[in-house]
Amino acid sequence: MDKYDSLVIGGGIAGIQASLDLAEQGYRVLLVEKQASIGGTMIQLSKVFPTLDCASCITTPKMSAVMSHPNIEVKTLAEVVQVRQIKDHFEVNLLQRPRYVNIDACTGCGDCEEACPVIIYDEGYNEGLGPKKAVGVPFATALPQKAVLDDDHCIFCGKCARACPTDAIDFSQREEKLSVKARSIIIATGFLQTPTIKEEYGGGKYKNVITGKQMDRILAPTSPFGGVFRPSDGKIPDSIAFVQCAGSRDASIGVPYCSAICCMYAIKQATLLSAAVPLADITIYYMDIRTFGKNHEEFYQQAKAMGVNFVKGKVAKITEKTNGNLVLRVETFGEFGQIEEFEHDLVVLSLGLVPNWNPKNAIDVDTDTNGFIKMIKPTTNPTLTSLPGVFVAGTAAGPKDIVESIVSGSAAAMKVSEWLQGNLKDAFFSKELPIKSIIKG
Amino acid sequence: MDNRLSNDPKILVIATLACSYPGIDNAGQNHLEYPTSIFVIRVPDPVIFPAEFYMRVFEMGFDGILIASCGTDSPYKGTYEKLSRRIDEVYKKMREKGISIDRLKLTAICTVCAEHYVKEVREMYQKLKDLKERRMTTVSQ
Repeated sequence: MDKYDSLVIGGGIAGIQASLDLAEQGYRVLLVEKQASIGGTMIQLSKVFPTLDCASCITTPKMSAVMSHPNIEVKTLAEVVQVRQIKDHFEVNLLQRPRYVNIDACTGCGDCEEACPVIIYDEGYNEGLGPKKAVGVPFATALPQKAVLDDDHCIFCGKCARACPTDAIDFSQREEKLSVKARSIIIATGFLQTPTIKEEYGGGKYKNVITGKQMDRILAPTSPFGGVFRPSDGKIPDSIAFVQCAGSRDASIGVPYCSAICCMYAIKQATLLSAAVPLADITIYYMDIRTFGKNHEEFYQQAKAMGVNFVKGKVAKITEKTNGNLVLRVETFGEFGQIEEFEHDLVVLSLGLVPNWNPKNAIDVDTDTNGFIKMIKPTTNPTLTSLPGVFVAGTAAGPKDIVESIVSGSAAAMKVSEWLQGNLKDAFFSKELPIKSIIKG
Repeated sequence: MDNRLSNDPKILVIATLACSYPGIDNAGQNHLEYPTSIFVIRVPDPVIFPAEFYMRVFEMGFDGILIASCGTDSPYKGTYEKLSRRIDEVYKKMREKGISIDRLKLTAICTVCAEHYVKEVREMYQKLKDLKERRMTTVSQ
């Protein structure tokens, strides 16, 4: 059984940062990722707020550093099934899903992708906007740069196997159960976007009502459309609306909390849109604009100055017209409050964040009422969970932006290193002191 | 006739796995046009090639080499500094042999720098074409 100092669950930016920081200190790390490539959500994004740096350019060097680090082992297409605590270490059962490609033989040349006759929607990287083949490297910057075969859509014609110059395609692969030993665990499983279940916003049926992540894909330099067009007919949109709090701060869909990033990403997308389609009118319908981070408020004011129209109001209903345009019924919070209707070409729902992973059956850590991993000392030691030796990083603990995720990844790595040296035993069991008493000493 | 066999300047692009190869791929996916006599090879980092390699590439008939590195974002620590020292060394050798230093260029291309890449290769292509024509005319005179 392989032994590791730390097991990091999730290969997003928080997991990557935590793995790198631990490996740099000389600890052996196993990074387990559910998808075929590491990188998480950040690799899909266009730019990061508020600096408008290119997200892909920041993530890829970190991803390559993880892949090439001698102290880090990466397992993709693997999931944690069960964790048992035995004395001072954890015994972890992993499920390795088949890639149907021999990872050592594959060179990532892409010949299989060219040979494959099956074209499907790319539900992963391109959020269902672009096409992909049933076999191939998931996306250009994917790491490991190895092909993966989608067995749900594959017709088993064998064309890829014949095209492969290294005979890497292997249909005989099956699910494998592995077990490893780890002395500590970092949960960095991240988030999912709130599903588009709201009936009043079309329930995901309207073609020109897209999600925030889809808008980010459209704006990215690696865009599936190669420009800003609306999905139904490819028209360049003249008026674009953003609906804030479309998937958060709403107890009726079970997401009563604020998702923290939607205001900022909507403002970011509006800023990028005003450069990409300068003639379009951009309107953001909001309940409150929450810009609490460093330089966030300035970014908001800048967007306002650029001509983005901010309307305080709550969108009650979206209806689709026959030409694909959408009519928004809005209660505007003006002087008296009135109901108005506006027509737009394209509507972006600023959806919130929900937890990606329910640890219930796998690992004995508590979750909070919203399903995120519970932090036992949220004020003084925010990476500690209810199980000693298990730490949490990134959005697995609650909504965070990229900067906060990276910070929490580093923080979790620091705490793991303390734990591995045996200095953190007391922290898990002692009660958290109120902040006042700490200040008094 | 295949453009690659014509008299167009041949350029070797050394691309990195982590940054510039996906960026160059992106240029193709965005349907950006650039000359066809450009050959891209993919390596973990250009620093693996010794100075002699570049000289051999010129001997083999390539007109130019564009090194599309990761710049300071390279996932391998300290490679960019090493690479820039290596290129200095190559420049010195090129001067000794009387090869124009316009024929080798070190750049940094990121994963989404498709337009930047196209600009770089076009510029280099044009420069090499002028250089080649000038040489042709001097030879014929």
